[in-house]
Amino acid sequence: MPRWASRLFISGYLAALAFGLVCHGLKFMHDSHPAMYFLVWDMFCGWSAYETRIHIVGEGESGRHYALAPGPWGDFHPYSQMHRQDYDINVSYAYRLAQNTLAHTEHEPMRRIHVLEEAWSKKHNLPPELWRRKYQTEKPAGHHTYWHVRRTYNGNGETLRLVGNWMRCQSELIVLEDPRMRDRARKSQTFYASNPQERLKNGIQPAGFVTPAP
Amino acid sequence: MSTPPPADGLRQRLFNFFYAQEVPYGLALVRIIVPLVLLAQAVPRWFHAREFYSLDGAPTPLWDNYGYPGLLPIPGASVAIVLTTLYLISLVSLSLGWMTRTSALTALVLTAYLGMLDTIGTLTKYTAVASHVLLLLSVSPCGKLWSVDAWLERRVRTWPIGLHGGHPLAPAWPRRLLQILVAVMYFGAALTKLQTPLYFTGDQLQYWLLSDFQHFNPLGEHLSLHPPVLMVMGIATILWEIMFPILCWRGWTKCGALVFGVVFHGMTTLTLGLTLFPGLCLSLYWAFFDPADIQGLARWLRRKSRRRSWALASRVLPRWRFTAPDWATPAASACGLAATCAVLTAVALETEQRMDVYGLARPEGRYVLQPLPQEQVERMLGGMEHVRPEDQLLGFDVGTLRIGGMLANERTEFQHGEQAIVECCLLLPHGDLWVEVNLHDDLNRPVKRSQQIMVRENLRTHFIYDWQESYPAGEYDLVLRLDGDEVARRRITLRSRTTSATAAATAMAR
Repeated sequence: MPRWASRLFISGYLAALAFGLVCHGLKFMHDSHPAMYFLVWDMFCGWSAYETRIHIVGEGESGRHYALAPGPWGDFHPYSQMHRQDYDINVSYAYRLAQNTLAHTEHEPMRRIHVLEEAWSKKHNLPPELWRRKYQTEKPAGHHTYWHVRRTYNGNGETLRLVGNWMRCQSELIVLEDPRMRDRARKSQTFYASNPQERLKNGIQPAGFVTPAP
Repeated sequence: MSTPPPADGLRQRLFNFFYAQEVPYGLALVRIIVPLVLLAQAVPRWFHAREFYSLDGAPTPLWDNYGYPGLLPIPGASVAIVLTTLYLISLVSLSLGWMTRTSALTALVLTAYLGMLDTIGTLTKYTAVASHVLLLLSVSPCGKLWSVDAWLERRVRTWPIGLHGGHPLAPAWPRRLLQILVAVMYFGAALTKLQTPLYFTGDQLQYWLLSDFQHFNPLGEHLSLHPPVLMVMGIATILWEIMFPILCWRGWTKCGALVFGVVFHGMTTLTLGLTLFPGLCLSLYWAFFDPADIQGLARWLRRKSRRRSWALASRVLPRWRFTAPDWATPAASACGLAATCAVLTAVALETEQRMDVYGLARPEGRYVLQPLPQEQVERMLGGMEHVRPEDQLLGFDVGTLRIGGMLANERTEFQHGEQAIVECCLLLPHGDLWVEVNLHDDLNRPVKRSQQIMVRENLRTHFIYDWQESYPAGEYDLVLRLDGDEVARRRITLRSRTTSATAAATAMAR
């Protein structure tokens, strides 16, 4: 490679790395374009205290429900024993996963498709001997899991319901335990805004509460 | 070749840093190892190419998540299978150094494209790291040695054997950029940790260790029981990540930084269940080995192998010289690779067709969806419920020592005059709670009550118990109540000072 070309390459490459680092440090434009994924090194993204799994359930016209992910032909575990849909933490692709199963199977017409989050405390992931050491009791045979409907589509793929993840909703429940806050919320009216990140879809989401109605 | 700039000082040093001539040993090793690591990820995904990367499946493109739908085309099933097959071939040929530059460019494009097509099952940060590495390899002289290309080139061009072991020289800048990439990556990871709440207390790390998000991590589950250790490990990690760009260039600090890196990545495998990311990062460490380091390592290995009679192979194999036949020209090499690609993609298309991924051609017909049990559906769609107090509790421990605001030891036996620290550790999110830690005697009668308000931001709260002589020696229970509900209890034994002294004297007399 000619010297001028190598200098150009070195300068350009170092500038790109520096740009990614600055955007990451300042949280400025760090999610502005898919290319930023390749320049922002956010390897430790933060972990919650609850383990979560994603379930996609179709509601047939007969009222019966069907699991739509993984498909009945077999599953793929990308990094552990978790299913592929479990890594869709924003449930952005759930409808596409459901559609793929519906397109390749026999089934009744679907009235709704629900995207659910299942959550449980991560302490239940401890093996029995460590549980005994930590809590000085035998580990219970099963553990309680919490369910939360994050998204509902109609049969045409239009979003009927879209709420935050289980952790966020739990935090909101806690805040709404405050009587003053609950009163304020009851007197308020929700408004909906189209999700700017889903420009070509009819993705709507509750954006919050406006000032109390007169 | 142009001469280096005459000016001395920073400019000259910068010039030497990037343009010093060296044998590209490190780059060649990175070229050999990195594609093998990527193959471990790519091979299992080939069997699901139709489902993950094509319009006949459920691709999950990255650009949709960033608000750029339709940024790149999504291929049809046949094209996706051809691309994934070419990806595997390019990784193998890159590792062999067969048409190295073309292979590296192909692998680069397909790593990024296939990764972006499947955000949830293929794309991770090691895809991003691998894309950078493949870009740098594609502009580097990494195929100049230990490769098919070098073997073919030797037919028409020979380098003096006495000088640099008969290997060609090349400017160091691609290796330098690889080093800078690793340093920037670590620094970026440190920035993320600095911006992460609860990182420095070790709580985030504890949640990760308890997670099943990655592979099997039994050591991580053990370590999660010792939060102060996690806090120290977390601080050591972030210090190393910030210091790495300063330490990694030369001398013993380079050695120390790399050794710490090996230990760090090894621990991420054992404690967090990460496999490919450590493999990729550690294979990049070869870029930090100067030619003199590699030659020294080779001399050491030769010396070691001479001492051992079983190492016959290592003495004999390097002496084997395969002479390229006359027909093995670079043009023939390119034709050979093209023919290999054509044959293998044809075989792959046919094989995938026969696999019948969706079971559409089964004798019994398509798969039929089976309804879920009604009680399971009712539980799933039953609505949001509050977290039960027993699920909010992560730990209820008794000890005597605190480090970094956390209980660092566990005790079940105390004697009069000592002080016990009782720690109650909860999971976020939780509401403002009325926390009681009550002392019950062996007949379960409360003998002391202690209460505190634990506000929603706090993860842990502590109660102090002074074991005065007003408490008779014996067995007690410490009972934890959250908002009035008993959630946990701990059995402790209180001994009087005289009993303890007598027991100690008896033991010594024996």
